[in-house]
Amino acid sequence: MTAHPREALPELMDGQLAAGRRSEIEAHLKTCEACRSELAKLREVSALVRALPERPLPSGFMHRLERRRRAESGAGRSQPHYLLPFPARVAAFVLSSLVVSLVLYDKVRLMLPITGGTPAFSVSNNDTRLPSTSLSTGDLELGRAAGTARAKAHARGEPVLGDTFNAAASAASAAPAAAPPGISALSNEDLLADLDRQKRKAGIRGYAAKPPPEIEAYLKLRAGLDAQLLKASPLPATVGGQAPALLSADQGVAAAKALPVEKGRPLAETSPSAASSAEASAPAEAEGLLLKSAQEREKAWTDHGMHAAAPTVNYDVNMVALVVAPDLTSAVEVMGVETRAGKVIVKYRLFARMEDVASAARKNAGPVRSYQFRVIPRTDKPVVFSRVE
Amino acid sequence: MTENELLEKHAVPVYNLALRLVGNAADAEDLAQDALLRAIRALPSFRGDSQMSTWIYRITVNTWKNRVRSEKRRGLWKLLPLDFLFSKDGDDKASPEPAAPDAPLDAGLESSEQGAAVQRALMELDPESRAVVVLRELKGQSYQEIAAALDIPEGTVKSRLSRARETLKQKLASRVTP
Repeated sequence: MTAHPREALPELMDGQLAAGRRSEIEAHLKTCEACRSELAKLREVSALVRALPERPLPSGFMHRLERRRRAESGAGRSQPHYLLPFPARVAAFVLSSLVVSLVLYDKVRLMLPITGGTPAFSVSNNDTRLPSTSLSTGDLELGRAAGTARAKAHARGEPVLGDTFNAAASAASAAPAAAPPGISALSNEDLLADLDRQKRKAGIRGYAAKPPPEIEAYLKLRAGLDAQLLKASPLPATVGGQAPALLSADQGVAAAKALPVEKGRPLAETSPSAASSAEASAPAEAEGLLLKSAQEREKAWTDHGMHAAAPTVNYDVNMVALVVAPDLTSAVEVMGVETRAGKVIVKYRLFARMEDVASAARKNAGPVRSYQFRVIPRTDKPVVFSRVE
Repeated sequence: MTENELLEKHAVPVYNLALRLVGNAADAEDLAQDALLRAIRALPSFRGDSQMSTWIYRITVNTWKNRVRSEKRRGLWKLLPLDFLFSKDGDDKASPEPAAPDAPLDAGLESSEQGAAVQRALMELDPESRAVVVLRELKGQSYQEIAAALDIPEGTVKSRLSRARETLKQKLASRVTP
């Protein structure tokens, strides 16, 4: 072989030649110094490249990758929660309709004029009445109007032509509200029986016609506070082009849930002067504490005499935002934690403490101010405790 | 193979492939992460008819090729590689044609002078040739595997590799036995 097979040398080096061709080239190399030298140079170049060392991953590489991975999988799962399967939506609609109609029944029943402890519509003649298998709100309104008309007629001393709805309606045809023809006659018992049947169907065993006054007051207070909160601090759609990030309570460690308000001693056992001075003074602010280490947490727990176990927190990545009520008469609730404009804002509110102080005293729980905390991701951003009125 | 196993086994090789393709640690991390995330997404469709390493290198190279293309469109290739300015090699200064649209070589990437010279020489190859050399020399891929990874005929792999080695031989002449 006289020609130099230069083009085959890289393939020979890379082991990519077929056996026959390889034998040919190897035979040539034995006799050709130039080709041997060329092959040696190729091998040197190859060795130089192969000598480039393998680098370890930069520090934090996997962490950053994991973050991106989570972000991507989170985005992939962003399906609207309200898109329930069709049967579930139907079931929800039926159930809510049932509850609404039960509430309406109840209201209507309470509004019906009942005199002398006896139902306005006493049962006398059932023959003309249709079974009350279902009632619309229109039916109920008519029933109420007919009843009112009948009661008025009765009060005026006019003869009442019967005890059924139909009769009452015809008697009250001159009254402002009269039932149009064709509406089934229903007695008060019918309404109640139907209500009971519907309740049994819905699995409701009993109900409070009207909540006890203290619960009502509490619900009213709470609804008012919620409305004010929403009004006072609506979440901005974007801050600096970014949606505000809400920190969920379960972020970080499992201990992130807020503990329930601790029971304190009954107010009667606290010194009256303290109680009265607390009342007299202007509404005090709660104490907000940021605990960044186990020692700080220990101190805060000791300072405030808390009985409940402190949370186990990994302070390398998390910290505790603790809000303590200003006095024993108020309770504190952490409404949420959010980052906004480079600050971490811990929102809380104060409200009148409502708890069974007597049972707390029996347990000898001690006068502990109400407190709540959230475990939040550790940050160097300034943390602001903001009271929501 | 699970996603975690994939990362455990292939994160370092993919990062190193990316490092040799782009020549600096920051872009290499970016590229390696993109490629690994793609591989994770595509893992259910991996049929196992090729080696997983070949499959994942192919994903990496394709991700990189897309970047090179979009950077070319943005005209970044016109920028002079910064390593040219820091080059200690007189010969390199005499021939400053920037062949690749890549970001500059990390000054601290290579601890040895030889390593730095080799990486610089690689960066002066056109991207396709660099990919062929890196896959062959550093990843030990066969011509067939390289052809599949780059989506080019095997003959083109041969000719590119041959040309690239010739160029490298010239660039690294001072380090090769005369």
